Amino acid sequence: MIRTTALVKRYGGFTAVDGVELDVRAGDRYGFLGPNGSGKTTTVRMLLGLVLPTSGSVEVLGSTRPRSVLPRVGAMVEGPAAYGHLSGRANLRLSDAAGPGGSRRTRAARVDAVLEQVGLAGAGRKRVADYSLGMRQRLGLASALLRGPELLVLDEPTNGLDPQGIREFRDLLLALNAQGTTVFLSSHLLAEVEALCTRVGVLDRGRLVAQDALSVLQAPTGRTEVRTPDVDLARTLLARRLEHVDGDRLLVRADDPAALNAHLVEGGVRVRALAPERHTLEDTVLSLTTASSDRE
Amino acid sequence: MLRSWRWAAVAAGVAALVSLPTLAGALPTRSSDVTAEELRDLVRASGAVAHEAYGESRVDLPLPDVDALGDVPELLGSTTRTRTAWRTPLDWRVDRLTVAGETDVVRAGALTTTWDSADRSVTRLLGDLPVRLPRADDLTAPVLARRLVATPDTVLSRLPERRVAGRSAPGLRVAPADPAQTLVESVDVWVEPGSGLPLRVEVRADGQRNPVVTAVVLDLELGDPGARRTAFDPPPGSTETTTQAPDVAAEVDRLVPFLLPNVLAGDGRADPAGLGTGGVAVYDRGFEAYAVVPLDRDLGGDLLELAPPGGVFATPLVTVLVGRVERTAYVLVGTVPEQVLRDALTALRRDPPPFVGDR
Amino acid sequence: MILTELAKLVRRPRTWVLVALLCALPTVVAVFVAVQEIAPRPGTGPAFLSAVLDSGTLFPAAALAIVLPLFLPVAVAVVAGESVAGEAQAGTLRYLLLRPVGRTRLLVAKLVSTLAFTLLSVSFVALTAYAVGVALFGSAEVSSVSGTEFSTADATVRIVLTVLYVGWSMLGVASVALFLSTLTDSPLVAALGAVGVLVASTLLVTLEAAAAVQPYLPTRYWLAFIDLYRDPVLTRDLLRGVGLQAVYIGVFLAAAWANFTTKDVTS
Repeated sequence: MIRTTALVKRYGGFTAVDGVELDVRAGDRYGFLGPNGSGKTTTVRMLLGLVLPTSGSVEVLGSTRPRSVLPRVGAMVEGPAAYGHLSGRANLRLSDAAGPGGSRRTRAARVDAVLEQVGLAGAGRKRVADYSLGMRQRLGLASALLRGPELLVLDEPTNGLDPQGIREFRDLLLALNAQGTTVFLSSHLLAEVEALCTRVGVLDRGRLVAQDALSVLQAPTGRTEVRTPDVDLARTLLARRLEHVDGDRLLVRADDPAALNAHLVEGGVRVRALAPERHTLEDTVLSLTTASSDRE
Repeated sequence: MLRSWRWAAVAAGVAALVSLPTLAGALPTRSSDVTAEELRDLVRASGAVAHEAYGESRVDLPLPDVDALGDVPELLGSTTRTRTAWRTPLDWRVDRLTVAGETDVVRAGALTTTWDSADRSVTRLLGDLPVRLPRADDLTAPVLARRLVATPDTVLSRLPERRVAGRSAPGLRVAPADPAQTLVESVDVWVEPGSGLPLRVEVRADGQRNPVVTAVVLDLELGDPGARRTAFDPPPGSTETTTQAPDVAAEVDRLVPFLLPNVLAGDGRADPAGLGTGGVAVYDRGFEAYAVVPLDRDLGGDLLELAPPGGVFATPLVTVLVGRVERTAYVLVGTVPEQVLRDALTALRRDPPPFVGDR
Repeated sequence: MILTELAKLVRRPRTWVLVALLCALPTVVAVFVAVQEIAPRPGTGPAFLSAVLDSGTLFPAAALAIVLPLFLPVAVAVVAGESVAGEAQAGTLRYLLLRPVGRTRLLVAKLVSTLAFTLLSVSFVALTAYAVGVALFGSAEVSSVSGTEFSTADATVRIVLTVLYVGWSMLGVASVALFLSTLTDSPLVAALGAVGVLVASTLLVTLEAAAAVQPYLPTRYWLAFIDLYRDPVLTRDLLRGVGLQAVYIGVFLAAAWANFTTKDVTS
């Protein structure tokens, strides 16, 4: 779907993107994570042909010329934009008419369908100047969906949405993905990516520092978390396998939670809760990226 | 790469476009073996050449802006654009083109009609004035060249060809026989080789780098422009006045009727008295020519006030001297050094012209 | 794409505000002249205005002469300067390019819509001026600058040619503004830049020492439309004006194309 090779973008002496090798596969919900200023937006713009790479190559939907495949891509880059003096519907019609393809006869139906999809059906007649930020986000997404794209490239799409809106947005993306749309979502919000994505790439100061399935990045740590009122009994029973005690919370080195549970219960320890400990995405990302105070 | 390639293409296109006028100007000329005398004769006979032309004349003679001179200071201090339709010396039309209007002179036989688009006025003049203020048609290259080439006491020589109005034009230089007596250094004329129509005139004054007068034909079409082009019917809503040449001269006489001498400080008069131009006299010997004009009280007072100490306005080509003879202000103007005018003024003072009107 | 750009132009309130302002100025002038019955002294004031008390037929030419030095080029520069930079500033440029609209195509569409605006405003000025002129001053017979009579058909043809010539002259301004519009993301900077070029050119046209460059200045032949009202029409400056503007249009559009098609869109 998206493959970049040694992608570099320099602005004067400043290297914004440095040797990025993205690999997004068909059907992915790809989360492109990185702090603000790490080069995410520049990379997204290069994928879409808005910015020309200094060196390296970009391949989107099997083509190295982004412009030729753009009709099959829906995108939202750095916030939505529309003509304030026109209604949302008029904006979508203009946008639809500007692009190639798209029969004139079915234009109204297409516009109504995407407005419905993003929950703006009731506000289509309103002037965009009177829209809230959340409504503008929805309009931007509607515009990206006009041609039923195979690939959705979304850059910080949930800015300005309320929690309810974020939820609806996520459900919509999940539904689209289930129908076969590949989703590329760039964000600095870990929770958003964690809640939605199947694969994650992490960008730091222009370099891609990690790229893997979310499940790999959230792999078990080999420890199991146990809560019990019988801390002292557990302590003697587990001896050196016990790594950490914090009130009624114990961290035990154990690969198999079921066996550990059986062992504790046999020893007479009452177990209140027991679960394998996993890496959080936050830990992973923070360990890979530089602290913000180190950046300029 | 792509970026620099596209910019290079644009730069190459711009360079090609910018160099076009330069290339057109560098077209070669063809030399010819016509002699200076032959060229002069061609020019003198060129009044019969029917043509249409667009031309520009540039005169650099800063004159004080006096109301009585009308648009003459403008004519002699800037560039004048003219359009000419010429059939014969007595059937032509010269339009002076201004940004938003025209002042047109139409000649039909003895009748000269002037049309001024600004105030929509038509002035008809029957007959010729022996002396009058210059008009735009006097400054077109052919008219100016014919007048200057006819000057007596001159030395002729050939100048190399030059491209004028898209033609390779042989050049003729006319210089005064006695350079000390006149401010004119030379008159250069370039001529349409087939018809002898003068296409470019440059008048140089002593010690000046650039020509003081440049008249040039920029577009030329030889052949009869047709009777319709030189016909003129006053348009509706215009105001018309008709005068006759002797009346105008008489008007001058009535204002300042002095009988000027036929010979002044050794210079003979070019317009013998008795033609009704008693008020103005022109003395010339070739390029050294000057006019003597007695002024009425108002204009005389104005000029005497404007005049610098000594009463001399010196321009590169023309000297103007203002002075009193008895109680009357006189202006002496000519293409001569200051001393010639002073001698003439002294002669007038020694022997004041008699007043011939009613006080 | 061209149609959507035209739709945008027509649906934009600003377009009509500009056109209305352009039409208002000559109308105000006409009303003052009519009420006071004082036309400018011949040779002063805008071309043709001194003759307007006699007949309103040529008032469109006077109206164009009134708006030509400043109002019209500023309006055109604002619209053309806005064309790309305005989309960049509003953020809609990237969405147009992502639609996708080819960059050359977008530039051509913008040019066509600027051309449409130019012709629209010039035609509206001429039409309202004709209506106002005939209503206030009547439609008596008129004559050419050269003193020959014009039939109504003659006058109409010349006014149409004037509209085309002035429109074409404005396209030179438009292409400069369009080029600047691809350089910057600020429509104001682009419009001001183009107006700056015009002011400099207007200044140099009147400066005798600059005679060597005058034939190349963009505003040099603007007033040549007056030559349409001579009889016969003096084509020399008109043709040069058309050619010179063509060169300006060609050069600046080529530069706009070279810049815009290879530029990083970071707005």
